[in-house]
Amino acid sequence: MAPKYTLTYFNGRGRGEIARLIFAAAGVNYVEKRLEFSEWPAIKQSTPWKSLPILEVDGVVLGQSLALTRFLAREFGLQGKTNVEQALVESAAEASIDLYGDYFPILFENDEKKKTEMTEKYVNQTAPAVLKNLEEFLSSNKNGDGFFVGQSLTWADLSMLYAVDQPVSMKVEMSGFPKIMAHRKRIENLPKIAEYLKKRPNTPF
Amino acid sequence: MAPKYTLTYFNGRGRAEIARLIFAVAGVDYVDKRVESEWPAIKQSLPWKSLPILEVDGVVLGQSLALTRFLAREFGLQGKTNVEQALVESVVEASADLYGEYYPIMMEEDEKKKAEITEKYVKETAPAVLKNLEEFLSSNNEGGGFFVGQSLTWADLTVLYALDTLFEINTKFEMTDFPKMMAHRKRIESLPKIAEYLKKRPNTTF
Repeated sequence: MAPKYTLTYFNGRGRGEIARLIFAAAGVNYVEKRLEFSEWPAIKQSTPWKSLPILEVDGVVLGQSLALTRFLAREFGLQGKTNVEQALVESAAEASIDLYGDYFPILFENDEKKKTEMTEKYVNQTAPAVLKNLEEFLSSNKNGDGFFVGQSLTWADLSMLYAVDQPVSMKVEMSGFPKIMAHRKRIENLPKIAEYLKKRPNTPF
Repeated sequence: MAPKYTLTYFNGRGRAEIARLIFAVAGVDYVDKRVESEWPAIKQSLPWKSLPILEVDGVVLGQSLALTRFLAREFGLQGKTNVEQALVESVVEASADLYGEYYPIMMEEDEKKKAEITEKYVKETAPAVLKNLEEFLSSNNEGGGFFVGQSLTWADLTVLYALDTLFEINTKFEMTDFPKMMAHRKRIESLPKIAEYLKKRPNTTF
């Protein structure tokens, strides 16, 4: 039987990656479409928000990366167990966006001087401030030795796994965030996640 | 009995306004705390060092969209199925491109830069987003109802707020290409609980 879900994005992690991590953690099969940039203009106008990723399910096309990501989290029970827990999960995920939100602007900045300025601001100000809040938040749940929210995996843990890639790759000083780094190792080592990471294609973004 | 919810923000619409619209539509009482000079004193005690926050059942929720979504779910305004919820949220995410520029534009002190970013917003960003929203709205009951499904969701409230910020940035913004959106706006503004709320809402600078 054909998979129920089709996720379409470019050939990279970017705005499709948390959704892919959710599919992996849930052990759910899906059709994964990766488009080259050259294929994009032809289908752009047919997408609801003229952007990728999109998720096709039950004949409906869902757009907007965070909306479809949260949809998948709810489909597979990774959204949090109560309404309050869902809100806590989402607040951690929202906060983590500030870690990767700057990533694309910096990556695509052609003006070298501006790129250096933006990178410095990210490395010295933005990232450390966000990481400090996330470290505190994590530490307030079981001393930071478990999951971000509650007693089991939620998409907040997966969002963090993706988000922390950015400061790490930009060489932000991570020694002040031991709980986050230990959490990262724990999530990376979950069997389904470890297997996914091993098979994941290496891409520039 | 004291209200179950306390919403704390600055004295303005900003990042708390959609939450307030949700409370109004749901007809639910809450404590609407507006802080001014007290901000530095309470900042460090907040989970994300930012406002708004929502206190409920002894828990402090931060991050405006997370707490707003929480309230939508509390009062059944999130959409009826998982797919509908996702459609509602996609409208909200798209609308963020309309109101996301509000603070950068309003807070820009360099007059030349402010004029540049305002022009880009008015000539490029806003029309592109509005075109998508108009199409999306039109695909549901020909745009004569709500954004998603057959009843009000917080998507309708978010668009109301987003258009407010657009008109504030540019009071003369031309909406002739977006007739369904303008008719929708009138319908939502006229819902009794919304009309009442808008009448009583304090006039603030943001």
